[in-house]
Amino acid sequence: MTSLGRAFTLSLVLLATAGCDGFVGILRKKPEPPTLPTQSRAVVPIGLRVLTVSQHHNALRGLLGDGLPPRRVGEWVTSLEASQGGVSSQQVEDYESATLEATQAAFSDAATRDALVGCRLRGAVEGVEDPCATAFFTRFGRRAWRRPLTEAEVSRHVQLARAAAVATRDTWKGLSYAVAALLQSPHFLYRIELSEGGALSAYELASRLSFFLWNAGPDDALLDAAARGDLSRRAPLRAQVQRMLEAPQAREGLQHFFADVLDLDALESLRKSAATFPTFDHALALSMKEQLLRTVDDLLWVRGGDYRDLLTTRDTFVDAPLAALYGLPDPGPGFHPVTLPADGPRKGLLGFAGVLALQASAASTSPTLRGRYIRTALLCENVPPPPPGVNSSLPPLGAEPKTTRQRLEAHAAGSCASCHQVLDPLGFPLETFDAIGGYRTHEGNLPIDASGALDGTRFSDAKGLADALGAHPKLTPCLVRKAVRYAMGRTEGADEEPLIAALTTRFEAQGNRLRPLLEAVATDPAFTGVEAE
Amino acid sequence: MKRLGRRSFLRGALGSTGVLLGLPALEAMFNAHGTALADGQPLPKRFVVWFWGNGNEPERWTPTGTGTAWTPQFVQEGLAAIKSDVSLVTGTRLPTRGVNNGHAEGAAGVLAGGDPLLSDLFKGGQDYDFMTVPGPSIDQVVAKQLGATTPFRSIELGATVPHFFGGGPGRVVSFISHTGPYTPNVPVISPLKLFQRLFLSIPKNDPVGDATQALRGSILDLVKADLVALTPKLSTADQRRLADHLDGVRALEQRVRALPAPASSSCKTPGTPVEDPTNPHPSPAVTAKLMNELAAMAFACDLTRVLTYQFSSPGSHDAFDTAPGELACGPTEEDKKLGDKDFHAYVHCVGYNDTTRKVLRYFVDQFAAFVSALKAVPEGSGTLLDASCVLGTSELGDGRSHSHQNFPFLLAGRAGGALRTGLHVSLPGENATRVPFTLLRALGLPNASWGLGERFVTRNPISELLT
Repeated sequence: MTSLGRAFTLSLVLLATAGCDGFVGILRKKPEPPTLPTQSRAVVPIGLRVLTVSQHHNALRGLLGDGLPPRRVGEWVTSLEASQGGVSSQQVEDYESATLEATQAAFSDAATRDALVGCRLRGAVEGVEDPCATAFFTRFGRRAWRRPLTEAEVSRHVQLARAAAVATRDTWKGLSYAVAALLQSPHFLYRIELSEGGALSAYELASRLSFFLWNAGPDDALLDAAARGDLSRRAPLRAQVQRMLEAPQAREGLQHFFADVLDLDALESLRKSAATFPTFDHALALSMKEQLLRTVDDLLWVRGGDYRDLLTTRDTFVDAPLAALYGLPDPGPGFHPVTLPADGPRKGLLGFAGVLALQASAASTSPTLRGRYIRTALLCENVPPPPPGVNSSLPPLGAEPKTTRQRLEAHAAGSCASCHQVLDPLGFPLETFDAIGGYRTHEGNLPIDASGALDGTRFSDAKGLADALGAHPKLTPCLVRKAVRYAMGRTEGADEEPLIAALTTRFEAQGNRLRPLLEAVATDPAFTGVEAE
Repeated sequence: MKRLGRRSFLRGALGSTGVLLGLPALEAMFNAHGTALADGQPLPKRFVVWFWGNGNEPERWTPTGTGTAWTPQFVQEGLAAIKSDVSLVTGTRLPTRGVNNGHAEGAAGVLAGGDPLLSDLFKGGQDYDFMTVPGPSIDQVVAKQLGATTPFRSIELGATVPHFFGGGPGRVVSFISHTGPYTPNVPVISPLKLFQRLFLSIPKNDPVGDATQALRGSILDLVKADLVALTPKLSTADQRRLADHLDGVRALEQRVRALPAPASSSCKTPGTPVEDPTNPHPSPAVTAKLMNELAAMAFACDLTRVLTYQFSSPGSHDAFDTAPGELACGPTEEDKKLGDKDFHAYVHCVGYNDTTRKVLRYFVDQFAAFVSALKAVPEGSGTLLDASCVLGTSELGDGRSHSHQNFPFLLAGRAGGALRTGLHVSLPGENATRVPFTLLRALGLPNASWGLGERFVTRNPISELLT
């Protein structure tokens, strides 16, 4: 979702018994000690994955150059969405207009088009028929469709270019229309895994690798490696993965992975009550996202840190509006590194405004919603929805003012207890942060009780929650699970539990560092179909 | 092809001159009574789904009296001025399973006639984040049949930002129009954007424009060929996705290759809607007023015959301006004054009271305002509403408990004389899918049934509503 908001989330996720009996039973058990799978596994082709909004944008930018106006189109944002999401008529329209805009911009600029075409066309309109045009579509087409085009495919586009050049009396316009056709084709808009030979083709694997590690299509070097057969052999495949992990695109790729896992794109359309939060605006929401991405990048990429530290780190980045929200000195224009004070109220991911604001309503907080986020997004537990047919109204306000916590506790004392008990105590410590993540000690005039508990560990405030989460045994397996889902574009099957367990063991043994994890997933036979030699 | 009367006429006229004629008055093509086209073809029928989120209060929804002698409930009083143009069907029950989120089940059930669908790829995912409709929503079923000759096969618009629960691919609780599973049709919620799409993007008859249109058509031909060639190599689910994509390409092609719409004397390009750049989300009523005018003109100019109007989405957490400052669930007076005005949360918090009933009434008022906007535009001897058929509904019977009993249905327009209006039809315990099925009949569509699976399927229209 870009153009439209994923704006409001539930302020009160109200749950009752029906769906939650045996809740603990459905929490994933710690798997048996793993052994790395050694038998040959058939890699399940995913079929079609539509390019996500950012992949489409990155691909267009990569193909047509940075002169592209930043127009983001499409409907699907996350890796999981992309493997089922369809293309509606509105999307077809948006793809068309964005593509025509981008191609016409690129081909109307002499420097850009010369660099793109790379050879000299004869001046006449009929020039598009010459070998230069064929060479251009062969080369450009391979990058756009992430595989070599057949001769027939090349010739169809050369013919369209010629017809368009004649109709518009302009050779470059002719080319631009044919390029626009390439970029509206399903061969560009979808990542297609057919596995026609019974295994992923080299080009299909190249796309898998590049979208997983870079969130963008393969470069010429990767496609050349596919053409040489390098990707079907273990050692050169690993060398390619390592090369890709050294490239700047991988740094962006890691940030995108976390944006996907933490649902950070939702910040782009977050809305809050203007009456309650006059300082909140779109720019502040974008700053919140930027803070999270910079923190991930610095801790997990630049410093190669331990993932668990993301939950407890005090090292982050703020700009002036965020500094104001956090009660820090104005750092001046732009983002600056900052270490949050040790005696301050916040630290780690759950102390950052982005997550706190996303998991809240427009004006009020929701301990239930925040608790649900921790359970599902960070610990990979399943939380059933509120069952139908249950009156979910909270007890009446009455004359006596009550905090959100007091009202929820009254609600959860009855039939709704079994679900709320596993969610709300995780959200209560975060009650010291309002619906945009600002610190507070009181709700109205009532003091906030920030004590809470996580699976037996009790704490008195948000920092205690952060420590408990950072040390939770499900934290690292969950990230591995999310990485596998992100790579594969689907939730895992039961037969993949040993893989996740094995990857988790290795991840933990290597200090919970992200680059080794990404390398392990990207070179795993379950991902590549390439067995050890 | 029988319904091509007006457009065939225009195509002939354009073919001989190659330039845009002075707008041919639609009235010139009416018969002497203004009730049909001169060649005997009926006026084109139109279909609208008008939707509000979070249901209603079942105990106070059923009017007193049935047939033509009914008295609206408090929340329905806004229908007074158009009482003879609307009908209510009360008491029906949407046969959901009751195992998934009530918003998701209700939206899939009322709009697509079945249980929400969860792809095998997402087993284990949070259900409502990952669930979709089991098939096309009813507007798209209609659009396939009624929308084949207009520049826009269907139009999706909204007055509020759709609700998203989590980050999943299901959009069943966000949108009301779906080409098929996991292919939602996202509504346009900016009146300016809708204006540009409807009135500024239709073909212009100039030589350069013609060349551009033709080239866009050639590109779409290549895209279609690629889609068709790729399809047999894919799984059934992916084949369906590409079929939906192909469908979208054809819808665009229809527009790229369309002739300028013929226009009645009522067809006027509206003024450009003015938007406040500092306030991208004005109040729903302000947006709705602009949208009502655009929708009426889209019909008057025959730009489309099928429209979905998402006043608010299933599970919407929007604020509504009818009760400023009163919707807050916080502990203090100050909270009440400021409030996030989140109607959904407030209903879960306090249930229905005088404050929330005002919002329920406001939804019906907004429905009435839309219907009145159609009724305000003359067509032939009557108004746009006469050939139209509007289905007003929500995804829940009861917004507090997520139940699907006493499902709310408001109908408006006579569907070209096929539908009786001004009635209250009480059908306690009957299958709610009979209501949409009745409208398919009224629109003259050949569908023999509506609904998927034993619980939902019906072959039984509501005879009291049909002439």
